[in-house]
Amino acid sequence: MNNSYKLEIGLEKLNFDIYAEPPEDPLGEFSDFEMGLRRFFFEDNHVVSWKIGGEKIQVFLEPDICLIWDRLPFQIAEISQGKKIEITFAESCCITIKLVPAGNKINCTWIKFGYSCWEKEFECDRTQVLDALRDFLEEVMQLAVDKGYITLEEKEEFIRPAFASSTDAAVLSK
Amino acid sequence: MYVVPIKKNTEVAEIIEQDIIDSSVEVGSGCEWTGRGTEPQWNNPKSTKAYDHIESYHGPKRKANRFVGRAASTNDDQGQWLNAEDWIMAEQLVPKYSGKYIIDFQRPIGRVYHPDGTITENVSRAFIQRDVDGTLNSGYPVVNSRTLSRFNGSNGNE
Repeated sequence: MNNSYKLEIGLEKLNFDIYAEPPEDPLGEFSDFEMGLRRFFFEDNHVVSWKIGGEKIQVFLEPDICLIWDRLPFQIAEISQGKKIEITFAESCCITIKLVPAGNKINCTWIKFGYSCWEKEFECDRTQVLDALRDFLEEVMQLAVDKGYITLEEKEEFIRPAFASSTDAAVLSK
Repeated sequence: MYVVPIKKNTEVAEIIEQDIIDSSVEVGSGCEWTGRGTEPQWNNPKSTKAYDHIESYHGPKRKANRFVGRAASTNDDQGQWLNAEDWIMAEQLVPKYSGKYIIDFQRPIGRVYHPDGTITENVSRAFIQRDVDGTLNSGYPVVNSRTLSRFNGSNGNE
């Protein structure tokens, strides 16, 4: 295992067609807020690159991030409480990212499935990983606010669990 | 290979692989609803809450050129269901735990568009990803060589 790898999550401009589909809610199951977010993911779609060590994957706000978004604030809270989480992307690529806290570190395992399968493990600083996830959550939601898809109040309420239950330095400093 | 035979009504299927995240809580249709708001309409294939992107990205009515384009842009296979009722059946047949599964219906359930432009017809297997609230995050037909693990068997917490 290698030491102190850095997890980076970044938004990049999408300049090619990924044949994404517009959000639908034929049964009226989603709130205005939820549909606003889904419209944002589709209409202002971006590449989202996840990097660690020499590995990089590219997913997209729509469909990939849209599918994990509801759970992400709660998953960040779980990591800050020392619980392990998994994030799986199965639409634009087939990767599971497992994050397992261990003291001040987080063991980050990337598991590729599909035709070829492999696992790679990276040891990361716990605060750095939490910061990367929280910064990503905040950046995307602020973009949705700036573009008029959701309100600032809706954003703050949505991201609150990711910042609410932790004793880690990133939260205490806020 | 890890195979779990399942028989439900007249349907016979096999769980070829599974990677269970949490086997302590049963979730999905027929279980207590733990997700947000009201319980989704499990028996309605158009339920976006229960089946999210499955119909819009992998449904039988999506046009072929959308699959071809998406297979090329992602450089990965794109599966299409032949019948919307089958992702309801998949939800009922895979274990009631959050995780990833490959299920074999032992009958044709879809086709797979490959990045090189070729198509594999009449595939019998599907990849299913069940979220912690029991809903399906993803679900699409796959060819037999798709696997969840490098060991090509169960690596779940069973």
